[in-house]
Amino acid sequence: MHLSVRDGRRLASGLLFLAIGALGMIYGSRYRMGSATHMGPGYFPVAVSAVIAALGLIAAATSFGRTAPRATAPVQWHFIPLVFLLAGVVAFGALVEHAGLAFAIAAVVVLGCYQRLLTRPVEVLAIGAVLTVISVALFIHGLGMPWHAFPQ
Amino acid sequence: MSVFDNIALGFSVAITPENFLYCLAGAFLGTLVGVFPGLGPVTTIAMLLPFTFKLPAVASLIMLSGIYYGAHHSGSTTAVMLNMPGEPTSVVICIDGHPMARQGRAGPALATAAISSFFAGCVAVVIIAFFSPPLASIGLAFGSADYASLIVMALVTASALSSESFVTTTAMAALGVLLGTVGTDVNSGAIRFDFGQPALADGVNFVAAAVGLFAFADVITHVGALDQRVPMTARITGLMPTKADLKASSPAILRGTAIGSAFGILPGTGPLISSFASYVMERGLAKDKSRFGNGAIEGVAGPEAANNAAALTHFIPMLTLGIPAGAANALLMGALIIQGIAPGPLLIEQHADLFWGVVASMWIGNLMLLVLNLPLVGIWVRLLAIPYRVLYPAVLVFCCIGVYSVSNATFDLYLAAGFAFLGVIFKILNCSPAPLILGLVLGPMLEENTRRAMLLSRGDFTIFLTLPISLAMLILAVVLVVVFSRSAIRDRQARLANP
Repeated sequence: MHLSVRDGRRLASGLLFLAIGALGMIYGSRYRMGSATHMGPGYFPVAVSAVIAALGLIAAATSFGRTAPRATAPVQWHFIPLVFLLAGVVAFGALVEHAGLAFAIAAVVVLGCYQRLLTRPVEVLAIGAVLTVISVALFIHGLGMPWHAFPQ
Repeated sequence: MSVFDNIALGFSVAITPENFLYCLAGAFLGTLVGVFPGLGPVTTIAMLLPFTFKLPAVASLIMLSGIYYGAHHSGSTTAVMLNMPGEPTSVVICIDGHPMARQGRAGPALATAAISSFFAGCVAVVIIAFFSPPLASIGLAFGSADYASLIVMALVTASALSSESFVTTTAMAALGVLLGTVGTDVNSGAIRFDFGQPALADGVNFVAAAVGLFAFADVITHVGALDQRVPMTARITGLMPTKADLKASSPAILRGTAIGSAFGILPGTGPLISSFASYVMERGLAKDKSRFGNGAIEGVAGPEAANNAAALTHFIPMLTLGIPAGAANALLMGALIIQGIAPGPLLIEQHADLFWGVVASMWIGNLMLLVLNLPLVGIWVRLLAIPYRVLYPAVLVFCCIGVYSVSNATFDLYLAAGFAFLGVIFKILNCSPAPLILGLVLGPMLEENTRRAMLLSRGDFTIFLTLPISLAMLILAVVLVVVFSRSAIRDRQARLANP
């Protein structure tokens, strides 16, 4: 019987860390290394990146084995919620400064509730309205955060 | 000044109307937010950070600590009622707490948890008061090499105690350290890994990282399966435990408190391992092991006491050495640094009112938790009936506001989104994000101390092995890793995590 991948998640995480470590070493070597006595700005990041790469290599190497693959739950990618919810967070960042807190919150709620936007629009609207009122009252009026509620 | 004078000083700080109110508010808000499934202490602190920025340092830390232990404790309510751990530390409470709830004994289970937690809290506060000053004076003797080794020990043991593979969790901690090097290098002024973003010159915002990795990643992975969140079936009828319950749980509470206090002091070791260790111990000592898993009250009392004792003694390394012991503590320490206070061995001396005030407030806060949890438990339980589809948009909004509030920087939201993406990947790959947060906060300290040690030793790496304190730390790290990776606790933990 020959070697086979025993733990796919471990192999993938090992390769991910190997890649991150390698990138860190390449990118970090653009900064001055210095010597062990007088470490430059590049020394420590490159050393840590090397540790990450080494750990990744170990994880990847030990994911192979002669025994049968370990039974694990099938991978769920969560692709659609990932796209919509991250878009909501990014929209909050893009809107909060100039369009104001109210629109930023509306964007998070609308994108975050993507599943119900068409089937239960009233519910989404209500959640958004309540959260906007609470947040504006609490953070801008209550805590005096230096933010705008609406476009100036 | 004797310890008692100091405690008197602490109470004089903590009992002022404002500080008392902030302590109460922290414990209340922590309990309120932490009771929801999926909202552990890290997310709760991140969401409530904006409420503490404008406060003076003492009031701010008092309130944040209240949020921290409030959120910590209310996770067990969720575990008992819904069989759903709000955070990993409550996994153990599910095992016997939820069967009790199904047998109609949810009230006694919750009351026992609250009483255990209060007793453990009282003991832990005394331990903090007596152990911190001597530990801080030991900390003063630490040189830079010793500190570097201490940080390595904290990071390595934090990784060893996670239920996932040691290699990948250590890699997560190292990745955190690498992310900690982003920004201006204090020695040379060079700006590193900024990718042309001026916002990164000050480094990676740890609140953005924590919210992305914990809160956003959790919401993203649960939103796709909205209906899979279990509906609540258990009801609360009577609240008070019977005499037999009290008799069975008292020794368990004592043992749990001892275990929790011992494990909590070690940096990197956590409430998680304490509650598991306590459960294993109670089960091992029981005459009739078959009761465990079917609603044994000791299985709730012991682990909950251990959990809360460790959560509080976790403050010792942070307040005396400046080494946060877990991800939630790292967040608290970051908030202190924002306030202009750098925790370390000098904290107790230079900010005596802050240190003793917080210690006294912890006792008051734990009393508050008992009051909040015994008569008001019905309210918290009713909150659990709020459906997830209504809850999660609020989590998203308040987390966004929390991230933005740290420095009013829109870039931090993009950063949080990036970390959320990473968080989902790490979740799929079974890599725990807690060591990364710890690495991110400790990274700059590790680099600073390593560089200073190497300068003093003229480039000789053996300095870490020849200085006695440093060597002791490294040996302790190796011992803890070997013990925990081989021990039965870890096996059981793995089995409990994936039955």
